[in-house]
Amino acid sequence: MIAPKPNLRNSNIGLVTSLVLTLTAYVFVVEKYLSGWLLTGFIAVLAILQLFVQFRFFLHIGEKISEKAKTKFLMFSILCVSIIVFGSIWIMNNLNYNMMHNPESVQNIIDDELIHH
Amino acid sequence: MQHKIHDAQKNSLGFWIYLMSDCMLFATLFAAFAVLRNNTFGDVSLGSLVNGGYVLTQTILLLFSSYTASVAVSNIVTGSLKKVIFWLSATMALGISFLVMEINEFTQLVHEGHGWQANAAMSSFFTLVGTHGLHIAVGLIWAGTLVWLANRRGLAKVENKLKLFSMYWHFLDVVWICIFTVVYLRGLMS
Repeated sequence: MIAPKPNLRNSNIGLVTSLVLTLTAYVFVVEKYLSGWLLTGFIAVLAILQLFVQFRFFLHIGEKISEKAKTKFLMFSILCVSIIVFGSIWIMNNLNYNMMHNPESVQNIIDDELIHH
Repeated sequence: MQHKIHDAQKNSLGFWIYLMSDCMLFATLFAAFAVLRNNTFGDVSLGSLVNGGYVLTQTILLLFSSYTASVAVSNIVTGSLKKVIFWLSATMALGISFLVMEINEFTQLVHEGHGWQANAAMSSFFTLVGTHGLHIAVGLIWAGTLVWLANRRGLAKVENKLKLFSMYWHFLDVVWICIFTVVYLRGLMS
């Protein structure tokens, strides 16, 4: 009897795409091919793509129908994580905004909100 | 047999729920970091402390360790204890290298006066990256006990444990990708 061979297809795809995505993001940041919000957006997209690759090829999400429950938990987690992270950033930025104790921040608000007086 | 497969699936789902709750822990730390990362209290910005090549090496080490863990699990079907232990040991070696590099980075930062007590930005940095490092350390202990157990009691006994370990290890890789992007790459940009 021949010993069964391990199936490495998923792992190989996962490794190669992860390496390509990581190196692309790194090179773009170091060589400054883009700048500002464009670069931020670009590396964010690369990171999200890589998360997809990791979940699909290493954690095998969405591979079998029997793993449907895992996908549901994952979706719910993504929702919670987004609320925690983006909610915190949103609230804390507004909090800084509302700290009107020094004249400088008051002036910033007046400038930002285009208040004429 | 049918019963056993069913149990393994339930274990895997239960462990997945744990991982998702761990996700929440990291989400709060990421949120704290995002809010505090510019609060350096007059010190140099976090970005100027980042050594790009060093962190890239760490990332690649972790990506490869994720791969070797995956290969170890794939090798269960061959029934060869040697192969599984070889790939699991490779995972441990890569994980240890990663952790040594991280500890080295932390010691250097503390020695240069950029420790966790320096300012809010450094506090949130050390908490976020340190928590991930702690998870890696726990994973290494786990992998070590799996190697020991596999040697003592054979492959069949560790099969399911190994699958759970690999899930844990890939999850840490996922968290690291976020740390690499949010902490280090964004740091390098500014």
